[in-house]
Amino acid sequence: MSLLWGAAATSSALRWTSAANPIVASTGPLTYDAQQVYRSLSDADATEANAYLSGIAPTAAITGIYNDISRAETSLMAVRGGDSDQLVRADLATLATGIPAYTDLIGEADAANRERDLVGAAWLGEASNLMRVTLLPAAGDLYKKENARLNADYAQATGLPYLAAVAAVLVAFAAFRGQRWLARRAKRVLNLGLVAASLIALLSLVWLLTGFASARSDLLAARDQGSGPAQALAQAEVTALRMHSDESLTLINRDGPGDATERDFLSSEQKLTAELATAQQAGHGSPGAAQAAAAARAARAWYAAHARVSDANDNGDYLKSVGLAIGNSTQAFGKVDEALTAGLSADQAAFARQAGKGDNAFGGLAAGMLTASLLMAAACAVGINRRIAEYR
Amino acid sequence: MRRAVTVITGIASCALLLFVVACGTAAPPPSAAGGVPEPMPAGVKIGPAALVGSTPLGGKCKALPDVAPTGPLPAPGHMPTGSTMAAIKQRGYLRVGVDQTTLYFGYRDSSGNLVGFDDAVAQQVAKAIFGDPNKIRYTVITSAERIPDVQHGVVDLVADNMTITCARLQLVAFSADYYNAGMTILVPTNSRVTDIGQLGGQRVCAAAGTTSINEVGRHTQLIPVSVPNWTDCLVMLQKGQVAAISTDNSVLVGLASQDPDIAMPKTSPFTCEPHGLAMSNAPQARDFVRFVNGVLAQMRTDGEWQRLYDQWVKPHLGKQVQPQPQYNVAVEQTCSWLP
Repeated sequence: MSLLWGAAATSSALRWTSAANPIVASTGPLTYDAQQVYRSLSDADATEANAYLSGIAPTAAITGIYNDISRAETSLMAVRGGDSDQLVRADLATLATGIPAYTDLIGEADAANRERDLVGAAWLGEASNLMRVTLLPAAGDLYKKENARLNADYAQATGLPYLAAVAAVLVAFAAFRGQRWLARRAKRVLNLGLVAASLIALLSLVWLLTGFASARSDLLAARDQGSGPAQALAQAEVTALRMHSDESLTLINRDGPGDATERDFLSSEQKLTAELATAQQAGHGSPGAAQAAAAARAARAWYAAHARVSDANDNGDYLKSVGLAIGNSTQAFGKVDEALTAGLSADQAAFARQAGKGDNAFGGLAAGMLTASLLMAAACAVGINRRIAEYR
Repeated sequence: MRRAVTVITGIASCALLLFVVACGTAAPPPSAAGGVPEPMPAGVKIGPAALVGSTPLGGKCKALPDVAPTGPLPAPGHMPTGSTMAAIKQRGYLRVGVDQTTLYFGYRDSSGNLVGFDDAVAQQVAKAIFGDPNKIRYTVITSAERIPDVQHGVVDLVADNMTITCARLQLVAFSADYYNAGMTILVPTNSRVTDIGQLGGQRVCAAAGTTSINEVGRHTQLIPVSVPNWTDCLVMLQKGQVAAISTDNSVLVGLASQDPDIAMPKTSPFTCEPHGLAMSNAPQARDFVRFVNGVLAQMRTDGEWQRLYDQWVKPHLGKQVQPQPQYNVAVEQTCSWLP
């Protein structure tokens, strides 16, 4: 009986720990790393397009792009090291070979642009195409999968201990019946051994439940004030970066009104507004909530700045349009990006803190349950033996 | 005895316990998975698909309406009422489709302005309508978009290295020949190839929807590769994804100047291609075709054509005089480089 209780309690504890521990040690960081790959690549794409539009590859932009690529590759290596799952292998392979190919193309574009050669735009076009058609979808898919694993871990780590509850009831019942039987047989009301066992059972149950309750609240906080809001903000940031890239590409391609990238910008305005609203809602009470609100306000100013860019372009004033794009509109975008990045940092810090606390609250629970069950078994054995010995 | 049994049961249960709670399957070792194929320009087509939308040279043209200029040009700013030019004047600007990747003819300079010989000729048309050559709104188009954009009224005029052919004359109207070009090849400097016929079994690049890609397709031993823009061909040549680019020397000279390791062989071009400005061939727009032909005739008499040619093209391709005007025939022109 006690072993049954031990088995059930320990298994619950181990289930929780086996999920809580990875949240802190692997799936949490992996999700963050996958998010970093996605964001860094999006940022490189937007920076490169904007740099081309501004003129001939300003040095600050090149440094920025290579920093982004470097961040993306480091994060990618972390994901590769931490996740050998079948599901993400294709995405990892695509990114591992695709990111260096992208860097080559950007390098050629910059070299051509320095010579003021028209072919630079063609290299840039190929790089941008690789990014949008191959790399960003792979990074997005990777992030989605890691996030799904994180959510699964949360569910497991905060799941109610049904098994242990059933076992507790059975053990209580058996203990009660056992003691009554012994009491009748042995004409003694209390059996020290069995009483000891019952006490241990009770204590371990209390420990299990309080440990669970405290850890659960920490992990839920990690999710609701940390990784949950962070996910919404990351999604918004990727959309904003895509829009910034769209604005530059529209002017680089000069296809005229109704251009595909301009249409993408306008349809993405609604998407971004919705995502920022989700981020504000999801982040209610989280440290990033204020930043999400600031980002939403900055986004409205940005849409207005972009409208002036496309008006100038529609009126045939191309140079004015370019000036506004690399000036006002880029600055307005910068405010949105700043707010989102700050919010993400705050949420990520909250996640790390709360998840760490949650993992600690589970600390020793599994070992403790195992020990308790062995003690209980020993106590029962001693108690029963005593009785039996009396009959010998 | 009982004790022994208890102990054994305890150990067995512990083992069971561990078995029950233990989890985790061993992950199979990662195998080498595929990565990305080598990047290529967006919209690249290789093989027969590259020839879709291209147009052949030569053939015999069906009889077409006369579009020779009928008299002197109207004074700038005073277009005949109800004419196509009056409508353009009313709008306030001429809409012109151009390239931004063909150096010297239609390209984006370092300040972001669209300039070149083709653009300069279009500016003469705007000057004749408005008195101001800058009343133009350029739309950058790919070679494949030239005909559809004229047909759908997206632009009034296309000035983009466009060869007059009988097939095209059924879809759009052309001005008289304002420039003669000839097709040749562009290869790496260390290549021994001097003629397109020597490229058997290899990939040759040209823009989609051009007479060039069609001509490449005619040489059946070649593998045609089409891309949206001429600089995309250059990227592929630089990466070694194609063995050569083949099109008018007017386009190739600009590509060659962007890379010291590629060059046109010293042999002569092997086609003669008259270039025209493309416009709508709707009957009610015929007055505009006559008007543009009148502008070109005026450029001959006042020497403007020669000035513009000498400014934009002569430093790179040598001397040329304005071709003799022939209207609505796809020209059995004689170019000096063909026997």
